[in-house]
Amino acid sequence: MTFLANTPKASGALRYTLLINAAPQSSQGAKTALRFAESLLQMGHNIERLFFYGDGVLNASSLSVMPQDEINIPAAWHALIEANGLSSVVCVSSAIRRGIVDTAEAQRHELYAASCYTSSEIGGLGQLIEALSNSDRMLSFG
Amino acid sequence: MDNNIPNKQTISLIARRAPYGSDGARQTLDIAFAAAVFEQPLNYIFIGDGVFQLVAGQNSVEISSKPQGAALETLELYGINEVFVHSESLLNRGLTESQLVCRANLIEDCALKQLIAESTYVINL
Repeated sequence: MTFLANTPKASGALRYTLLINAAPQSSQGAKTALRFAESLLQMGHNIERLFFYGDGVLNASSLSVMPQDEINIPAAWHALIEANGLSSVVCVSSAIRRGIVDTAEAQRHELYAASCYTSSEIGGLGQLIEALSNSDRMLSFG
Repeated sequence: MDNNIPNKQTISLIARRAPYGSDGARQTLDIAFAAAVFEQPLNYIFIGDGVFQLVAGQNSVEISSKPQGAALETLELYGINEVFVHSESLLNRGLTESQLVCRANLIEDCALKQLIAESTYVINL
């Protein structure tokens, strides 16, 4: 992917929270969010938090397998989060309904596998509200 | 809690989906409750098919869903008092204020536009 490298002055950098409600496969929203997040970082802005909600929690699935000529969106999110040390939260009530669980949730609910990338934490909506308070901008996708 | 939440910024939630058929209505409600717990100023705006969420007497048991109206009845208990209903949306759907589960402020296009413009964040599900 290529980016417009219009790096803003340090004083112009903003803090963004992204609310991702779009599933990775059934809509364009998740791809748009991913590209937007990448562009923000390229341009010198800060990401306060990624918050995955509703069907958007599927973006944190570590069990997605894609054909070789298609982008694996959850893997791309994972790489972006890891590379930039981003805060990424997956809404617990959306997640467990959709089979997105970390090891702790898997044990709690006696499930045989964990499916959530370790780069994201499973948390609550309070963390969305908290992130908003520390952000200059919030954008929602999907 | 206040240490984590330094700023009181107004969130406007726009509920525009019918209560059943997608989970948008419940997702919006859950954000409203979370915002209320953190004592964030909140406008809860019902527009378009979203006004159906507020209709009294919903029986969703037959479609294996929790009734959305019953949850919305409790908004006041959570301190969510800024509830707005787009009056034209209500009118277009043959509904009146007396059919709603809770007390709501009817709002016209102009005032709605201003409400959104004055909000720090707008969440539209």
